[in-house]
Amino acid sequence: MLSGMEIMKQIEEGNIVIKPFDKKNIGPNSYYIHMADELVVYDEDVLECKNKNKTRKITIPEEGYVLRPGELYLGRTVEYTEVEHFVPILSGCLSLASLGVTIHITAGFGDNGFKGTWTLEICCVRPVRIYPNMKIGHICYFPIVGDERIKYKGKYLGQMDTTASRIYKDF
Amino acid sequence: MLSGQEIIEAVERGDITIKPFNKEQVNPNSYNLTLGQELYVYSDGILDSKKKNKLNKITIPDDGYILSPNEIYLALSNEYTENQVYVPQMSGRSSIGRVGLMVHSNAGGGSIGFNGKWLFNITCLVPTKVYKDMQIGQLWFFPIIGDDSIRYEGEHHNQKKVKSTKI
Repeated sequence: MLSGMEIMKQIEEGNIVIKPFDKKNIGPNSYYIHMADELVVYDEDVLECKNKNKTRKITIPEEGYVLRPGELYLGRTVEYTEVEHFVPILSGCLSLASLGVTIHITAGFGDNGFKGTWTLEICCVRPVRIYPNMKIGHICYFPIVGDERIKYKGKYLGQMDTTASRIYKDF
Repeated sequence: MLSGQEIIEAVERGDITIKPFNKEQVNPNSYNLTLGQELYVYSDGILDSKKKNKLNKITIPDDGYILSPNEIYLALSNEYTENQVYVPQMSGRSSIGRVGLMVHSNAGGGSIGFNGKWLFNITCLVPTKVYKDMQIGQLWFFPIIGDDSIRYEGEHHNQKKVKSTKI
């Protein structure tokens, strides 16, 4: 896993892009990311893997927004990232986890070659107020072993907005 | 972590076994796992960590099955894997996370030496319809550092059937 200093070096070399970038967000072996001011929720009683599900957008005001248990909120990072030659992994802040908030449901591994903002899968155990621009997690980078000819051409390449699941494209 | 092409080459040289293996399921640095047709749910109202809890089988019909929140569904991948050289790690795909489906309740780390199908512990936040054979999870492979003579011989070794948890 890359150290904080190595992440900075890779940014200078252009293998990692983080925008906006601020040195104060470099950790010992990660980069801290922040919550954008929008949430997306599904507007369906039953989510379908085979079909596109209806969604609704919520803007998080400056005074914050209270998340409710039992609801799935999609959010996104303020930061836009690109990566070549490393595998990025997103993880939530320990201090948010201690409030019972998770920001991703899967392992958080990204793909080598991914470009875009990160969509967050947010849920909570108790009602919790969150705020725009708050620190919500960090990205770590793993070296990749072997030939990199298989590039990310996935459903979410270049995503800028909070992006609902496109699993229906698999069927 | 192995690149997708390196996963293909590791399968070809026998360092990783994935059966069935389909190149279309290879990603830039992972391999997609598909959902088997059978789900298992615990039939006891309160689960007891000290006892073997009873399981009921559900077969996913061709037109899908709606999962309910507050239930845990156990299922296996269609894929059988052998991992003698690299450390496998399993988790859900991004598209699965984005509908609030979790396919494992812990870190998803596998052990070097683990042979078997992968057990999904599936939970959902809202009712969600799933289908058999859908690409639900993915596997990553990490090189191991140091002497790897301590091998996985745990309770899920060679698993080809869903079994109740053994604590």
